Amino acid sequence: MGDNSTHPDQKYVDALLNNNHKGIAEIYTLFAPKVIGYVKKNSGDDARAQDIVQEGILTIYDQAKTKGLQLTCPFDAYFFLICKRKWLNVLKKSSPEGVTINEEITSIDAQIQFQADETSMFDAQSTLFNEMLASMGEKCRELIKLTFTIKSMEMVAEKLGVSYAYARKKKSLCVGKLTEMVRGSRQYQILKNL
Amino acid sequence: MDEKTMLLFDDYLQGALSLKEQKELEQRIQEEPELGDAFAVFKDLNGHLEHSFSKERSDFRTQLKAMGDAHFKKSTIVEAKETKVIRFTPLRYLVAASVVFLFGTIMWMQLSTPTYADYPVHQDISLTIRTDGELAFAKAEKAFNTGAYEEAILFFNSILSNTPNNVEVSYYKGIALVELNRFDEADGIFSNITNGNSVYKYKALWSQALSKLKQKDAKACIKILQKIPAEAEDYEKAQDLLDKL
Repeated sequence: MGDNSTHPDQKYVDALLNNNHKGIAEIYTLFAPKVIGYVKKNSGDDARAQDIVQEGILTIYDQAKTKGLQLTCPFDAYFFLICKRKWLNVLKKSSPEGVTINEEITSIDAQIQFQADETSMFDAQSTLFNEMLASMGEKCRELIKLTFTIKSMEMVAEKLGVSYAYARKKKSLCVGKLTEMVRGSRQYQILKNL
Repeated sequence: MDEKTMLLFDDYLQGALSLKEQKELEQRIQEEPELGDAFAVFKDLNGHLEHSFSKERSDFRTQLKAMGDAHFKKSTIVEAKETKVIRFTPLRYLVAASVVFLFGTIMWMQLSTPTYADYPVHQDISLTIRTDGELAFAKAEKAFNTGAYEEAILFFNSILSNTPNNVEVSYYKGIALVELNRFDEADGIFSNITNGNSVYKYKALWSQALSKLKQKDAKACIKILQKIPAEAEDYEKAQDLLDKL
C-alpha cells in the first residue's frame, strides 16, 4: 500500500518508545490543540478532550511497543484521525441511534488512512483481548493477572500454594482457553475478515 | 485446540522446545491454517498481556497523565492570566508583608531539618523485565523487600551479569547501595541511568538526591533536585524537599 518508507515524524513514535520527555511534550504542544478543538466542537468538554488525547498517545505507544509501529505518514494527520475515531466511538456508545458531527469534508491521504486503519485494528484487537479476559472465569483471570504482573512463576506458585510445574501448566492452559474464547467471538471474525 | 497444543505453544514461546521440535511446530503452523490461526492469537495474546500488565507501561501511563495534566493546566493558566489582576494599596502592602512574615516565622518554627529517614524506601518491588534465571529475580525481590540489602545486591549482580542493560534492576541496586551507605557506587549507577532515556531516568535523580541528603550534603542535594522536571513523578516531592532545604 503506497510508499512504505519511514516518515521523518517517526521521531515522535520513537520519543514515546524512549520515554523522551521533550518529544512527548512536543506532541502535546503541536498536535493536541487540534484534537481538543475537534472534541469540544462536537459535544465534548475539556476533560473529555484531554482523555482522548491521552488515550490516543497510549494506543500509539502500545502499538509501537508490541508491534514495532513504523510511521509512513505525517504524525499530525495520523494522530488527529486516531483521536477523532476514538471520540466518534465514545459518541456512538452514548447515543447509539446516531450522532451529528460538524464535519468539514476533507479528503484524506491514502497513506494516512492506511496507517490509521492499522492502528484502529490494533486498538480493536486489544479491546477484544481485554473484554475476553474480563469475561473469563475468575480463577483463570486471576492466575493470568498474577503471572503477567509478577512474572516469576516461582513466586506465583508460592503465592497460590501450588507447585511450580502446576502453576506453569495452569497458566498455559488459561492463556489457551482465552485464545479459544477470542477466536470464538463474533468480533474476532469481523476483525479477521476486514 | 486441545491441552497438548496449548502447552506446546507455550513451550515454544518460552524457548523450552528443542531445535527439532521448534522446526516441526513452525512447519505445522505453515501447513495447517487452523493451527496457524490459533498460534497467531495465542502469541498476540501473550504479547498483549505481557505489555498490559508490565510496570513499564503502568509507569509510562502515570507519567503521561502527569505530563498531560501539567500541559493542560499551563494552557488554562495562560488563558486565565489576562483576567485576574489584583492591585495593592500601600497600606495593604504593609499588612500583607506582616502576614507573610508571620506565616514565615510559624512555618520556620514548625519545620525541622529534613533527613533521609523522612523518605523511607518503599519496600515492595516487583521486577518486571525478566529474562533467564527466574530464581535470581524472585530471590532479589524477596531480599530487597525484607530489607536484606546486602543479599539483594548479590542477586542483582547475578542478574546484571546476564543482562547488564536491565535498568530496573540497576536502579534498585542503587537504592540498596544507598541503604548500605555505599554512596560512590550508588552515585555511579544513578548517573548512568539519568543519562539514559528509560522511565527510571528521573527516579534515579530523586534517589541520588536522597543519597546526598543521607550524607548531609544539602548543597549537592539541592543541585540534583533542581534537575527534576515538572513532568517527573517525583517532582512534587522534590519541590517539597527543596522548600525545606
